[in-house]
Amino acid sequence: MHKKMIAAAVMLAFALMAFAGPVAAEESKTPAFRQFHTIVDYAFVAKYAKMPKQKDVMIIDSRPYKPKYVDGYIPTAVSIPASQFEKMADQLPKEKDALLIFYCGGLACPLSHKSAFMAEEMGYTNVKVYAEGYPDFKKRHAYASIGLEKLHSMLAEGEQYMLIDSRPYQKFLEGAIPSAIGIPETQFAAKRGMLPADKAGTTLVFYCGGYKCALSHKSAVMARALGYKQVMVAEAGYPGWKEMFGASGTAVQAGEAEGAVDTDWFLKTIVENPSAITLIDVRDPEEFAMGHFPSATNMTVNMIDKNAADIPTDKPIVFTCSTGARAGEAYYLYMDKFSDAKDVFYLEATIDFNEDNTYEVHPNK
Amino acid sequence: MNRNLIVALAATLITVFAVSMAFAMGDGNARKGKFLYRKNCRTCHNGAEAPDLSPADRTQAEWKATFADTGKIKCSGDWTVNEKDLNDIFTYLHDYAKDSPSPAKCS
Ligand code: HEC
Repeated sequence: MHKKMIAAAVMLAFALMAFAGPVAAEESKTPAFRQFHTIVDYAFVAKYAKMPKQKDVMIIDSRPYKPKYVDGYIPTAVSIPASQFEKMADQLPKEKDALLIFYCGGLACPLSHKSAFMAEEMGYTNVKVYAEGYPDFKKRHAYASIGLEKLHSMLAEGEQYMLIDSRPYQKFLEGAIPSAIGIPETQFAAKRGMLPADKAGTTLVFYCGGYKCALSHKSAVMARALGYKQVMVAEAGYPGWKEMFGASGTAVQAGEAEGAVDTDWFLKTIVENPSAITLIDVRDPEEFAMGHFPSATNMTVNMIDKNAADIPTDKPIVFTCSTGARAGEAYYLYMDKFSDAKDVFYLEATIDFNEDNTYEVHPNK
Repeated sequence: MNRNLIVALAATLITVFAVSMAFAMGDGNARKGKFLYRKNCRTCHNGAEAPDLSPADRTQAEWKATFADTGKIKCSGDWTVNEKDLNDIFTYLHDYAKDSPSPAKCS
């Protein structure tokens, strides 16, 4: 008799617990995999998902690297896909009491639980799973991080985004990811007018000097506070970009006409950072001798027609003359020979050179 | 062989047809026109095969008259440019004509 009553009471208690459980249990419906014993929530993870990275803490993304991790991940998280856990386990911290937080695609995703068990087997003593994972984080957090592959495809497909270099301006001028504008973190408030008006529709992507740099993270938080809804950080930053996609990093600001360089950008660059571009003056040698931009090389359009391949392509190329006419001709000539050339421009402006290589530049029209 | 001939003939006919048609001239890209002129016209108009021909040889009105009916330009049968390119070339010749604000100097 008693036994029966106890059994009934236990069953009742279980039933009650099931009902009293979180509303979210509706989605989870007892997942068909073994749950990890120590589950943490957003507030716990958010304490660690920021710069500077805390020592002896690692947030681990257990989802596949492509496309999941690359498309968006928790700031500071490292990618160790569950399928490659054993192979990549050497990336885990050496100290076995380091805090490891695993996450993946939400309550229905077993990958983080699986990885957490494996980490424990390896001897790690402070292992947690953020079971609600990336979907929950993305909903709650100011911003998420993306891989450079994602940024590259956004760039190639001409998506609606604005890329912002948060480093000091001089660094930006020395070399930046194509299409970026420079808004140093320290000048964010003063220069916020450069951000797009559409706060809901435009994705803002911030970057700076790589994984150890906090400037982009700080800027992202400020942008979110201004009301921007889609804010990302490309953590690998300019060093990562240079490694992955090459150093032709100077982001030339384009002018109004097809192929034209922005005149103000050009004038600033040849003074502050002349080595960032290959500057070719296409006028005749006699004209060149009478005065030219100090950093220019002389090569007439006829010479370019014959020896275009001699022009180095490691930096953006800018053609100039005295009115824009021959420089424009050189631009179209070059593009006709190398139709897939990028970063080739000409100066659409009228220039008076003096014999001491000083100059006055007047915009055309 | 025969097929090539037909293709060539068709291409010629299409070109002749296209260029002899009157089209809205002007407002092209003079910068690109200068390059297209170098590529498609200066090959002959170099003073050897055909007379040197610079924008500054004619006035803007004269260029307009010349291009009013390109079919009458003697070499137009040899042209391989499309309508858009030809308009860029015209714009270049016209914008640097001898009575333009900035007549072309030498090259
Ligand atoms: C295959 C060689 C060749 C090419 C290519 C060529 N021309 Fe000519 N063109 C000639 C020759 C030859 C003449 C002189 C014909 C004569 O006067 O007998 C001429 C004459 C002309 C004239 C003067 C005609 C007149 O009646 O005033 C014009 C204008 C002209 N060419 C424009 C062009 C333009 C524009 C192009 C490029 C789209 C071009 N030509 C390409 C050979 C060429």
